[in-house]
Amino acid sequence: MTWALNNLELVLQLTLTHLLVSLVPLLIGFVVSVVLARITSERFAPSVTGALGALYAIPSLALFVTLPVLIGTDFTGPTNVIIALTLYVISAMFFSARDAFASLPKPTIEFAQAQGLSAFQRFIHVELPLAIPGLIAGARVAAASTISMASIGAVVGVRNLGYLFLDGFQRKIAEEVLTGLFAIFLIAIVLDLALWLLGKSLTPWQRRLNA
Amino acid sequence: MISFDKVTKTYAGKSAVEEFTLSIPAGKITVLMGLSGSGKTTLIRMINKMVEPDSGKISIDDKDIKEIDSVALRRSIGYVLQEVGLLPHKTVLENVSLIAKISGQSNEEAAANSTQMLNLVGIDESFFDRFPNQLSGGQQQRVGVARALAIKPNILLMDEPFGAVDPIVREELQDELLKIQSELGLTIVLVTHDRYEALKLADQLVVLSDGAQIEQAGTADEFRSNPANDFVRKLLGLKR
Repeated sequence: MTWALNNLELVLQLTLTHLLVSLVPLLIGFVVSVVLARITSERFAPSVTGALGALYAIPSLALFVTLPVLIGTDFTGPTNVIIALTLYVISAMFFSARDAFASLPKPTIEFAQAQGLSAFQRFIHVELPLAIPGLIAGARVAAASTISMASIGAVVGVRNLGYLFLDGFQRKIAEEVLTGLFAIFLIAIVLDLALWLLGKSLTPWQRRLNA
Repeated sequence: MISFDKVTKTYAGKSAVEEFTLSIPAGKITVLMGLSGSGKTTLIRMINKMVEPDSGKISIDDKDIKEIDSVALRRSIGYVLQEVGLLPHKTVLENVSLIAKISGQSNEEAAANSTQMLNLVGIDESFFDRFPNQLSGGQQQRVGVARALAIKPNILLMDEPFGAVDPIVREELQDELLKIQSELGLTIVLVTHDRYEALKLADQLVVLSDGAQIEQAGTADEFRSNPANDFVRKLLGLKR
């Protein structure tokens, strides 16, 4: 506790960076996976699913150090980590996004088409709002794993909360490691809660189900 | 007037509709009746181009529907299906006015039409802000009908519209449909497998067997006095 209080400024700064390198991938990854899930036809779904599954199996540290070779980003610094994490979010979210769109009520979709909503209007007015519970569920899983995975970015020079693990381990300061652990845990809980609340507020009709 | 001219549709080698020819008069209720697999739903879905025929021609007021853009065509034809398919995330009024707006009405027009049509089908204003899952099955279908009417269509397609509501409500809805039809002068094409509904609603009743073969077409009275064959008699529960 003393350690955390004495280094409060550092911890806050690291937390901020940690949030940045997690939220940006989550946001971009969410949008990309929703669009990808919606436009991928039945025919290509197995190949996309396979490719993303394989991608998800690559250890994050390996991806952090391989990306610069592949796309010419800096070895150190956040860009590389943000891109890698975005890829993980996409591969984690794609499955749940496909499920969310696949389990929409058939008559509602059928009606929307039969009454002349264009494909875009169906997406905006029907498919997206109805898929929200499934999409939020997927986002919550992706958020938890991204927050924890982001800490590995510290190894390649992104000074986020993962830095407290590295530094605490090297200098044998248990309190520093614990502080990092607690802060990451806290961010994950808060973000999860925020997503849950967002889901609730976007689906008012579900609240009134039993009204 | 809607006319089918030698329309054929085949699914996986089996013909759902074979050389179907029928003229559906404007301002009347035409009921398509048959067992499942008789192609009646396929027929109705061809009118708003949800199903494309393999061959033959369908025209509305002498215009081949192939030449009409699908989305534009669908926006001019009301559609009611058994499962209703209301948007669960929108209120009753929003459900109706969204469709009106998409058909090209301004916000004010859509709101006015929606209110008018909901009143017409007997939905009280106190229900306007409710979500579909707070309504009974019968109320949901009333909203479904109001939604189809709010686009001010000349043609209304109804696929087993009252199949999911209990018998008492079904009769009420049928009575109201007759009233609405005479008030608005709509051309209605309705699919059902309920013989009472068929005989009650039809100005023109068309009984279909496999492959949408017409066993008999005519008014309910013609069916009662002179059923064409045993199949028709059995299907409609008519005595010899």
